[in-house]
Amino acid sequence: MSLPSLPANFGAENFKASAKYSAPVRRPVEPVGRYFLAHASRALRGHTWSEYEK
Amino acid sequence: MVYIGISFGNTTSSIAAPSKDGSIEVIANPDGERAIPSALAYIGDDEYHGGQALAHLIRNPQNTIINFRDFLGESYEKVDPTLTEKSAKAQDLNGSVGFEVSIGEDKEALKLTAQEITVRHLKNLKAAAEDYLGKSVEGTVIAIPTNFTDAQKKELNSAASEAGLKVVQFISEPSAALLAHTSVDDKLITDKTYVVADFGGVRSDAAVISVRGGILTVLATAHDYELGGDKLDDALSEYIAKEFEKKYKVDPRKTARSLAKLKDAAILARKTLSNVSTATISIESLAEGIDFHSSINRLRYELTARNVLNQMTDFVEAVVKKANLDVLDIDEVLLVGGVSNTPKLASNIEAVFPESTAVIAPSTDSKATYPEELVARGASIQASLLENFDDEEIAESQSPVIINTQHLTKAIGLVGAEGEFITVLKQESTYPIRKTLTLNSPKGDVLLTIVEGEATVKETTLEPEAPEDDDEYSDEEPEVIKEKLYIPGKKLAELAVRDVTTDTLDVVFNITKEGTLSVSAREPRQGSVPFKGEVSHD
Ligand SMILES: Nc1ncnc2c1ncn2[C@@H]1O[C@H](COP(=O)(O)OP(=O)(O)OP(=O)(O)O)[C@@H](O)[C@H]1O
Ligand SMILES: [Mg+2]
Repeated sequence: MSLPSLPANFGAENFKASAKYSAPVRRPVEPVGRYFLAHASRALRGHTWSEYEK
Repeated sequence: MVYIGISFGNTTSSIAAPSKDGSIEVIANPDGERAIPSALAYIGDDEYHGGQALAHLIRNPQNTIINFRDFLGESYEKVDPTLTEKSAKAQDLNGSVGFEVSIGEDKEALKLTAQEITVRHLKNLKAAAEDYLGKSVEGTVIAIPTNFTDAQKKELNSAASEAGLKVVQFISEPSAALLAHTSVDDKLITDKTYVVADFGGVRSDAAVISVRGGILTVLATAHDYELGGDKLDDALSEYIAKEFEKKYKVDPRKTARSLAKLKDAAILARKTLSNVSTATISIESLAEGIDFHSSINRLRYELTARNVLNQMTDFVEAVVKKANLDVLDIDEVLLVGGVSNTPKLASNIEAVFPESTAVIAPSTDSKATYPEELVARGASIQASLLENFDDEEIAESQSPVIINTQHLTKAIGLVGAEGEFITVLKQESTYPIRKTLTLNSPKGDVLLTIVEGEATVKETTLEPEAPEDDDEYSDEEPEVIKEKLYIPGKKLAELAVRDVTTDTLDVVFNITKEGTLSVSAREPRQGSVPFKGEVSHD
């Protein structure tokens, strides 16, 4: 998959926000599996992504 | 410290634990059973368990206890007494559901609540595991249906601890099954939407589960207490009874014992027909001392069982609708439970899903794990993961603040050079989440358009092949293949990445716990400067 080139008339700004993303829904996730446990320990022990990825 | 995984069904139970090489193993009891019947029988002073107990159903049904799991934590008025009409009958024991069995003529009858039977059952499972592992087992992860009530969990928990097993965690059966299925080749890292359909002996359960970033979310569940292997047994028993009647002019449905023999023969034939195309049926003294010997082929069985098998397929379709999804949204259907060994069940289900949906069952996928073992395996996987956590952490990990998370209602991604939608985060992705991808890029200044994805259905018509003979009329309908595709929808932001000198860009989408989406892109080389921006939600 490839990205397109920047159109010539884009302007000097690097980032243009135009809309917010659609409202999310809150749902319970299943407390199982290693990715969930990594999520839980990041949240509980305040670990960051990079610490977890080490 | 040894933790085992337990699948505790109304019909069978299984135990699993990591073997020496770390792979998960389903443990057989001393009789060699891996799907251990959830049954206890009392004959005189002796207690029998598993298949040995089940063997008493024909001669001693009133002292054989089966189908007790769903009675845990329920009152007698609430349960279906027909579940025990061919075995020790469920009754009210001081507000709980229980059974009364004779342990000898001159002795007082033994009264056991469902909870007490469960203690005895779990003790037997624990002993089988310890016998095999040669170590004492302390803890367990037990899989339970998604609709088990708090009262049911409480009774099961206390039964386990009376049996000497600490329940480290209860996990839901479909999630356990999915963990086991995805543990092979770490399939969990691929975002997919699954239907987990579990066809047991007395009930059928199904769940739609999305996996995003390795995390599982249950989108819908369904339960049917009137659908399961027992219904297939009824259909096949009736078929055998008719054959017998035709031949001998004797009705073999008149006594409990001959009905039990019919069911026994039906189960055996069904299981045989899952593997081979004919099964012999052989019943000694079915009625009035007459033996019955016959055989049945798979096709005949499938006709006999057609209604029940069709209901099972409908049940799977219904849970997809309940999740507000289309069959096109389902990547895989994982078939679980003993009945899922039935080839016709799997092929019927394949027929209602598009070709792009994989149906996982022994008859459709030679690498599939035995469907009756998936739940115990998954429970054991979770149990071994939890060995690294202490009780407090395990409890905290299940607290509402951790498990109630936000899920995207639309996919988010980028617009590619051809105007196509490049999915980065699928709908139902749960955050916090971080996703990294590498995309091809032109040199110079590059545009990242961040958009939501809009679903469209693409229909491709495959014309039937032209008949070879010109005169021959082809009645083949053109086949229409439907596919769900995403196209760019609402534009969220545009990000310019300037003076790119490499052929690719590393792109990171990150959504924080608070819901801020940040997108950054940089050249994949040391010291490159990221270009980035942030988007929030409605
Ligand atoms: N090889 C097989 N082919 C067909 N049916 C099978 C096979 N093995 C087991 N079964 C059937 O599967 C059913 C038991 O399924 P399972 O072991 O998943 O039960 P369970 O989880 O205890 O179910 P429930 O709680 O609904 O009773 C029985 O009806 C049994 O006859
Ligand atoms: Mg089950």
